[in-house]
Amino acid sequence: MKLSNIALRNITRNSRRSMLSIVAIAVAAMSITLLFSFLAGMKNDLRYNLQTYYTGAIRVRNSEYNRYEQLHPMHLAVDNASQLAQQLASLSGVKGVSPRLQFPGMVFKGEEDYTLAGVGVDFDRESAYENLPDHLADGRIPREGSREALLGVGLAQKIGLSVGDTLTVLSTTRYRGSNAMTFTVSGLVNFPVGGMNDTCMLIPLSVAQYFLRMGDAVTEILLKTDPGADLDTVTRSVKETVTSASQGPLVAQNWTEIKTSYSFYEMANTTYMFIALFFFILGSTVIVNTTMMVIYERMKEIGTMAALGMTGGQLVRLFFTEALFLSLAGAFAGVVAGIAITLPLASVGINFSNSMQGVSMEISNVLYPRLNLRSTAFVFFYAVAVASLSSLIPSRRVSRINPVEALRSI
Amino acid sequence: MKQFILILGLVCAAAVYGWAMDAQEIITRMEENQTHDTSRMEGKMIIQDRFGQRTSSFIVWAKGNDKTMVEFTSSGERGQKVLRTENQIYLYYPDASELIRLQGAALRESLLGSDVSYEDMTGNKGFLADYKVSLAGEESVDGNACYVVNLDAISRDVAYPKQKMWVDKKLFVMRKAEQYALSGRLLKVMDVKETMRVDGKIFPSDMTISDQLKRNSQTEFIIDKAEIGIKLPPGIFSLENLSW
Repeated sequence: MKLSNIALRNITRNSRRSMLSIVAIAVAAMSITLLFSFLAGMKNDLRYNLQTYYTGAIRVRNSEYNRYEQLHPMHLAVDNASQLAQQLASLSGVKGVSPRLQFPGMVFKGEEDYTLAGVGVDFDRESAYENLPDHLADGRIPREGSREALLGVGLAQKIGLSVGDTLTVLSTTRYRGSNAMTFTVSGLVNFPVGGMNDTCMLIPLSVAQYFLRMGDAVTEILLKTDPGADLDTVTRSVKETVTSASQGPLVAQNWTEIKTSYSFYEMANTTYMFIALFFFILGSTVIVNTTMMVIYERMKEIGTMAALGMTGGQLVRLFFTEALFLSLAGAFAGVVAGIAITLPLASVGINFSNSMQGVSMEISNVLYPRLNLRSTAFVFFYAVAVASLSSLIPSRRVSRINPVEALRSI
Repeated sequence: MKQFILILGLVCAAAVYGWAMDAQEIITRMEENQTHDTSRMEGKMIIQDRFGQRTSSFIVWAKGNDKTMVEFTSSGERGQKVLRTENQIYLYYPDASELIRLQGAALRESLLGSDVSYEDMTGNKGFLADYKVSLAGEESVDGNACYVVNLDAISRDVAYPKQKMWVDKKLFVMRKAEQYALSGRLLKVMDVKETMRVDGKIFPSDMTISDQLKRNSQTEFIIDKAEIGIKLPPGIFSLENLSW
């Protein structure tokens, strides 16, 4: 009789015990499938948010700006920005270009004062770059050249403003002096990133440049690349363009070169792999326990098989095969359950708005788990490998069993 | 010989009188010099920070200790105004359709990125109303003999709980000042490089202020032209006229 047949017969002989092992592996596999889907969704979200709102796929700045970023050094700018943006937009592999003028702002209202993160943007370019109209909660996009502002819904709520109201913003100019300007709120925007909703104000780029005495300068130009484009190749051509440009000392970095929370995420990913391993080891303890129980319960049978000529190695293989079948069934059931839960969540999303309040990470309030074929397959094989290999620990005892002693012990 | 004895006597009397002066009198005489019924001054602020140096020019109109109006005339901030009336600070910007009234923590913001905060412009009752003063001794500052006066705040409405001031013994003008937090931490240092005499009043005309909490930062105030006891334009310190 083949070992696999004996293993199958043994599994079905005590279906309740086998089911317990399968369920343990399935729960572990399902949890890890969900965890990996959630992490993949988070990674995707973080990458989109970073490339759209923070770093672009590639970012061009004055080479000194990063060093003093906390001080808002408006004078460390990218000059002749419109010409450079035009040049960069014509490069192969560049999908979108967004020249931005970031500035700190203060609003004084009654007894209170509020800080905000202002951004001067070219709304025509920006609407394509970040699908701005999709995020409009009220009102409309500011008209180019007008003293109108688009406020994050949280910021507007904090200051007590709605569409049509005015606010006067005090900021720092390129000459490190100060200036204030009054804007009319033309619309409210609901950014996916909660932190931006509470701080962000968008105004037309030309108005921001006048307000902050910037001329044709911006603080950064963000670029998005075509989906199929090789990031390194596009980065190289952007660097060449930037170097040949006469706008002063500029630096182009792609988003992987910029220190962001993405690097923390990558670090966390490794940690999660270890967590997954522990999950499976935990699930495997049930298999180890079951195999040990089986060995003790089936001592007479093992003794008989050994007396009939089955070697220690064959006995180990038998128990390993049993564990392998249990792991395969458990891992399959777990992965299928994980997929079944992930798929609807991937379209509905999980809302973390309440728990994300006050968190300054570039993560969206609503996260959409993302099923990844590679990681799901990995979970399946990982679960099978860890669970079946763990059966080798108690099975080793079987290989050392003396048939005479085994038969006498019953 | 008689003449020599007379001169010696006068010098001794002056010295004795000088020693005998108490801190209150020193501060009173200094404030008499530095506070004017009305004044109009033109000057500039040279602000040095880690990114380099820049200059902003201004005109100041003042009435006693109570009211001050600063208008910036340099191209970067032309038309911007700061009005202080009693303890209120209002900012006017030509690009803004409303005035900004600073209060609370906002008063600690820096004036045009300089080492002077808006809070430094507040306080109108004079030092003796806000501080308990005591004479700490005498020292020389840049070759000028000075009284050293300690000022400890008795009012909570002051920007600096402790100050130390070096007042010129002859001219009764401030030569140096150090401003401290309640913890004793040095916050700002003022050094007077030049003084100006107009209509018998002597006051600092070139002074550097350095905020000790900022790195590589210093602001130099230079008064180029000063008129004292002049008639000020009517309503110059009113909110209604702030935007003319």
